[in-house]
Formats: sequence, C-alpha cells, structure tokens
Amino acid sequence: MKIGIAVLAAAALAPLWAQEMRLPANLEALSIKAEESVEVTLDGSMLRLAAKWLPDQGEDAKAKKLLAGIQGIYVRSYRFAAEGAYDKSDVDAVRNQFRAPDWSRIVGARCKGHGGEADVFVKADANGTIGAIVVIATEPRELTVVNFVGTLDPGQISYLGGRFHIPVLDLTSCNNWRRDSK
Amino acid sequence: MNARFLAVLLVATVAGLAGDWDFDHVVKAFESHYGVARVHIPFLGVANLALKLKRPAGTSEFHLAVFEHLDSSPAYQDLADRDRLMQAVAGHGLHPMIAVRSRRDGQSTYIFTAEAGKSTVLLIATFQRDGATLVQVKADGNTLLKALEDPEGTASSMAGEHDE
Repeated sequence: MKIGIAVLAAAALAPLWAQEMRLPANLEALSIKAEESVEVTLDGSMLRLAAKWLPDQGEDAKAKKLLAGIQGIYVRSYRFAAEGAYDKSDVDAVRNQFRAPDWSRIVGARCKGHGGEADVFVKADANGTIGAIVVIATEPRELTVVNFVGTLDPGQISYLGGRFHIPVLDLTSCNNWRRDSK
Repeated sequence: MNARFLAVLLVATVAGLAGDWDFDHVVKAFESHYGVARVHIPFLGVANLALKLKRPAGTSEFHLAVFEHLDSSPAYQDLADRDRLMQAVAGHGLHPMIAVRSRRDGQSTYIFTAEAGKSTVLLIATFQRDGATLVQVKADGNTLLKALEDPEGTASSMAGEHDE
C-alpha cells in the first residue's frame, strides 16, 4: 500500500464550513502558546489565480491540475518552544471531529522514533466521490492541520506537499517527514 | 454624451475612493488602536509615481503607512491583540490569506487579498518589535504566489521600496 502523502494537512468538510476553519477553541488557543505559527486560508478564487501562474511542466503541472478541483485549502501550523506545550487531548478533540459516519480514516501513522503521528481522514458522498480530506500531523513540538475541500484524489495530495505551507509528510518512512516548504 | 462621460467619471472616482478608503480604514484602525499617528514619509508621492511608471515585481499600485514607537502601547507585544486588530479590519472585500507569527522575535505578518479584476490587491501588515508597516499593492498572480510562499520576505521587500 503506497502511502506517499506529502502533507501535513487536515480538513475539508462540506462546503458549508469550508468558509471557516471549524477547529476547537482549545486548538485555536494553541496559536497563542506557539513560538511560531503559520495560518493559510485559500479559497477558490485565490487558488484559481495561484494555479494560473504555476508552470505547466513537471510537478508544477501536476499541482496545477490538482488545484483545479480544490475549492479551499486551510493550513494551521504551530511550532512550540518545548515539548509538552500542547495537550494530547487537544489533538484528540480535533481527530474526533472526523470520526462521524461521514468520515473515514484512511491513514494512521505513528513514528516511535521522533514521536510523530499522522492521520488522514476523507469524506465521501454516496457515490464514493471524495469531497474533503483532512490531514492532522503532530510531533512533540509541532502540530499541523490542513483542510482540503473539493473533489480530490488522496493519492495526489502529495503533489501539494511543500506548497502553500503544506508540509511534506512522506509516510513511507518516518525519516522522510519534513515540514519545510520546497 | 457628456452625461455619459460624467457618469463614467463619477463611477471611476467613487471606485477609486472606495479603494483608498479601504487602506485608510486600516490605517485609522491602527492609529486608533495604538494611539499613534502614521509617520509622515517625505516624497512618498514621488515614490508612488515612480512605482506606477516602473511597475516593479508585478505591482501596479502602492500605498504605504509606517507606524513607529508602537511599543509604548501596552497591547502591542500581545500577539493575540494583533490578531484581534487584524480580524477587525478584515472585511470590506478583504480576505485573510496568510498570517505568520513568531513569538521569539516578536514579529507578525498578515496578508489579506481582495479581487481587483485580473489582478489582486494585497494588503500586507508587518509588526516588528517597536513598529509596524502597512502596504497595499495591486499585484499579479506571480507576486501573489511569492507572497504566499514567502510572506515575510515579500512584506520586507514591499515596505522597503520607499526607502530606495
């Protein structure tokens, strides 16, 4: 099973809450505790404009094609000064939002070496069409949530890793987890 | 014919004022929130004219406001207070695109966007230890991408234009 998902992302709910990042208040409060934080909000019009300027070659072309089906990308990435700055229950509360009947967890990766955890949730309609993908990735001092809203193929999300502050999270090996942008 | 021309002129004028009003609205919000006035920058008008002629880095308009000695305000070092201020000034067609904060060096950068035909208006707010800068530019998609990938670098280069 190839899980080359290059992302630290989370999210993608129905378009109804695509317009706002519906994260628990305790998670939003973590941004106050974080030493560094990045919050990205890209709606459809911004994504279309950005996609128009991506080159039509190589990985850029793949990302460009993928963006055509995405209505929104929402990234929340926090880096903390010390381990234990955030509570594990805060992350569990986020994960629990995506365990309703509409959602399925397709990836749950745990790396004992550096304590990293990654979960990927998808939401599909009755026909099996995926309308949202949520990726939640944590490390002892880092927490990132990314929401993708739109018609998506989970196997292609890796093309967006390293763009728009979406971290690369190659789950084929714990050593390949990387937060930095390309 | 004259009436039609006047009507077009009026619409264009109102549209222009509306754009300026957005920026002035944010400037006034900063002034009111921190109890300081923007710094007067000599020859900023000349710089704006030069920018309109040169169109550097895919930008076609340029508005700048600089605030100094904001550290005299007790709220200034509170990053959450900055968030609340920026959330308050959003709207009026401005959409938040990216916010980057660093508690370690006390800096925050916020970039808002607004659609402007084929271009995009970027409103960039940069908070440093003791001062802040507001920049509004009309930018093409390539500049938008750069701002998204490197918000702090873009903010720095935009704000630095008037110094050159």
